[in-house]
Amino acid sequence: MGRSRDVVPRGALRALVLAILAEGDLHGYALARRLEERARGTLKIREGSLYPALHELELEGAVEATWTRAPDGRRRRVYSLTSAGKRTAKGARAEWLAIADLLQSLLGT
Amino acid sequence: MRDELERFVASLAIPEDRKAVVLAELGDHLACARETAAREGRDPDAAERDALGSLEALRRSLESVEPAFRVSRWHALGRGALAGVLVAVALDQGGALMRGALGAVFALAVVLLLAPPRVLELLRAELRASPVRGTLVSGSPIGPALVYAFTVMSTPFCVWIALIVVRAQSGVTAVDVPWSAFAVMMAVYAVLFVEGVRARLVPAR
Repeated sequence: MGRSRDVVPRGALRALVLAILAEGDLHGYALARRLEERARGTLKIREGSLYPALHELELEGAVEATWTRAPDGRRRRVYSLTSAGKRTAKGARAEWLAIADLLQSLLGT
Repeated sequence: MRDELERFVASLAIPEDRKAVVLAELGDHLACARETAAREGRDPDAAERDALGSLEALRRSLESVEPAFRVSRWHALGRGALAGVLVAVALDQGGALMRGALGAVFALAVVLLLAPPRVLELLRAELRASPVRGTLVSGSPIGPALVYAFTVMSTPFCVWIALIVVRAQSGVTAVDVPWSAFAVMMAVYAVLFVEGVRARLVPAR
């Protein structure tokens, strides 16, 4: 595996976020860690891209955030998919898998 | 690090209530990074710094997204209707002065002055959003920027149609349409076209 990538195309990050949230509700840091674990060290998710993407999805009504408390009492926002978000997640997944297939066939293996 | 984060969030050009949300969220993120690093035997300070990444990149992203939380569709509708009525009345009552370029400039100035804050950034975010599948057609979700665009474009024509009907009832049937009446519509469609193309062609950051 190569070194980790800091930059994920915005559309791809949105699709990844939606896919992870489709598995369960998470706060931002846990979501980033889940993505990085899934990528086995090839991807580095930074706040600079994660939270704006989450907030955009919130504005679009694809995710909703609820306040909870961390074990030490600090405030924490937990994100979950809305029903519209579940549909968006399915569409985004299909779209990016199709793009991946296309690139694979164009660029070779 | 917490002080640096607080100074950074305070300096953001975003609504005050969103600053509290961003600060709590980023603070939680850094605390989590620190706790995880300590648990895994890594340097907590380095982990915190690494999690924060580039503050300038974060600033650009947040300042393009957060203002949209302040502007509701109703807020945009009200501003659009007010701008539209002002344009309609000024062009109707302005006489020869408002028929040409001056009328067009005046109309565009009113539309710009009454536009919701950061309307262009809002519009870009709305045009980048995933299409919504309706029963008949699919399209962009209608957010505050699109509400403002369509309201400000259609309100003057609604007012003028009402004036034509009222005047026709009192016997005035001549209708004179100056080209400045179309300035706002042409400008709005031009912006929608350019930004719509950009939203599809320009790679996302």
